[in-house]
Amino acid sequence: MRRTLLWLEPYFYAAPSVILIGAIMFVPLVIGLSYAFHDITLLDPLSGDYVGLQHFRELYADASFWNALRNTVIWTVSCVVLQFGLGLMLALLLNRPFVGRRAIQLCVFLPWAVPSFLSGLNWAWLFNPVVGPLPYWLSALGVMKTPDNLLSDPDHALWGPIIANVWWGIPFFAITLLAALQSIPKDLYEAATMDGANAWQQFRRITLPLLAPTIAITVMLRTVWIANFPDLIVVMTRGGPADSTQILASYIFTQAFQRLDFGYASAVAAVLLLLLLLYALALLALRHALAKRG
Amino acid sequence: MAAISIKGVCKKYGTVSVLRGIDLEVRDGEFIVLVGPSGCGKSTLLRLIAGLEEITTGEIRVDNRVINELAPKERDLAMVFQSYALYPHMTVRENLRFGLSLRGIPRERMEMLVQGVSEKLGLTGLLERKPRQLSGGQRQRVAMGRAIVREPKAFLFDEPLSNLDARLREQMRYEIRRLYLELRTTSIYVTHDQVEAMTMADRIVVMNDGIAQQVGPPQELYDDPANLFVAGFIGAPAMNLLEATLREDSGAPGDVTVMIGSEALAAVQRPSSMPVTGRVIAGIRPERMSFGADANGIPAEVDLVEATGIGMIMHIKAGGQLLKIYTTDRIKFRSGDRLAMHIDPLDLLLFDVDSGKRLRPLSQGAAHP
Ligand SMILES: Nc1ncnc2c1ncn2[C@@H]1O[C@H](COP(=O)(O)OP(=O)(O)O)[C@@H](O)[C@H]1O
Ligand SMILES: [Mg+2]
Repeated sequence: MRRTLLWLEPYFYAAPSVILIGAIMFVPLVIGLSYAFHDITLLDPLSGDYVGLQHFRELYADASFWNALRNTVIWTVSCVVLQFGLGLMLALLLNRPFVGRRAIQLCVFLPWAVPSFLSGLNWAWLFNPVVGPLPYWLSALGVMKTPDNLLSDPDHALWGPIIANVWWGIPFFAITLLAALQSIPKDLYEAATMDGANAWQQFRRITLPLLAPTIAITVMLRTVWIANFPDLIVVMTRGGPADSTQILASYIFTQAFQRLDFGYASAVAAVLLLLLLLYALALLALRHALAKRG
Repeated sequence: MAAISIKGVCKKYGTVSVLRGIDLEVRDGEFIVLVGPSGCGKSTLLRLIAGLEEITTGEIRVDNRVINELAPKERDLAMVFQSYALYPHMTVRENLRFGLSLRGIPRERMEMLVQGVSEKLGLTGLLERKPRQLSGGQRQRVAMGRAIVREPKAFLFDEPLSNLDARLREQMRYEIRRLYLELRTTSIYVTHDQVEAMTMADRIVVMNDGIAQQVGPPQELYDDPANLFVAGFIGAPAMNLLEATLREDSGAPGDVTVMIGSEALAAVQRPSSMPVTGRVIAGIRPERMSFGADANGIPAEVDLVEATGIGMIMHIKAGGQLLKIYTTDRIKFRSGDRLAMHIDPLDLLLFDVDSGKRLRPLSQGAAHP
């Protein structure tokens, strides 16, 4: 008895925090997921029954869902790639000393501080030919034939929120990558110079490998965030025109707060959660494999 | 291997002059040590030679070819950094191979060179480790190996031992010197530690304030310093530097008497340029002074005795000034004891108070006997 108690003792000490964290993290998750298996429509007093996998069967046949899934992939990949690429370039630029560097660093980080809804509105206006200059510039540059609203063109409307999100998200990569760059000792580059490495070789063989852990973690985090980030789309296009900018996250929002079908929205959310989990697991496995090889 | 010639080299950062006209001829296969206090410009000079900084004015030649405008890669010199600067994400083998692979050396030859160097430095068992899995001394060896493996024209060392503890530093000092004697590659070695300088150098360059104060073999710098700075910097315990006056000697016309306070220290030959005020700095090495309990000598009082194991450092007061005596005798003096010092006039070095320059006797040439 005494021995069992002794053995259990550490668990008792840990229990309060474990229970707290469990309550905070898992209870809402489980309840949210359980909605996916119930018929919950806010204005229908008769709803609330357990419906099993019915929502998922509906999903499977729902063309809007598949469209949103395809858009989610386009949206996430292009946002992450562009944010990362431009963020890395910016970080590399800001990592060299020049006059006024501090002031410029501050300016670069500004977009991050703008609330997402505000930046969505801002970009929506910028693309609007009635108030914004962008359509005229784009048509003057020959990118567009006539100064129309990009957001009302079903073939290209998704690029509106993508551009807004890239603008908004570059600072995140710039900040984190700049911090990682600054933690690389300068004398490594001097040693590499003495060893005969040119600028590109130094970037390839010193900078990139030493940034790799930061890149892996930030890209993973950002991918999950962006896939889950409907704010800009909801503000700028509401998923339109004709669902052409609908991603899963905004589709969930539409289902829940416009059609008030919480059950169905939860089913979509469950699928998104599952996909992101698979993505994270795949990435971790890849990292593990690379670390083992390297 | 290469001779390195440095002519009138100056370096400014903005308006701040860090190097103010350095001239130095490093002979082919020579081991030169740059020594001086922190901030005197040693690293800067080394980095100018390496090509990591741009020369403001002056000229550096390697094997008679001006290298001012050459990129570091084309200079073909290797540098060992104080922090070692090993690539943390590469194994020891990859660290050693890095410079070779960038030079397009074929794989088999590369392996052979890496193998040879790791045997020479005792790294064979460590080749697959990452730098963070090595001790300080092992990292130091890898840094050396990375320099050696490329067979450069010259080695540049920037305080390579200052991150090691005292015992390891002594060991590595020996190993670097031994390795040098084996390879005979021209080496320029920077340190702020005068013991390292004395023990390792063929010739020492003492630097202060961006100027080379004196260049010469270790013993010459020790015996015959050109100025107050070198006299005070080289040697531990440091040379006694006393405020003294010169009094015309009535007995011998060519001689003057060196006085501290009212005590006559010794009669020496008159310096070639006699300071008008008669005030000088008199220098004497602590180990060149003898003493006894007898009455005929310069009276002094013991202030403190420090035992170093090998010998004793005795702090004494004489003529109102503090000085040190070093002796390997087992002495019985204690604080407050009185004794008498004896100084051989030939051991007494005189320096100008204002310029710090050595004041040499008329008849004596450059060198001290
Ligand atoms: N990049 C730089 N910009 C401005 N001043 C510098 C720079 N590098 C070195 N200095 C100054 O030059 C002087 C000599 O530095 P250094 O050569 O590193 O001295 P040390 O003899 O200790 O190696 C120091 O006063 C230092 O502050
Ligand atoms: Mg230095």
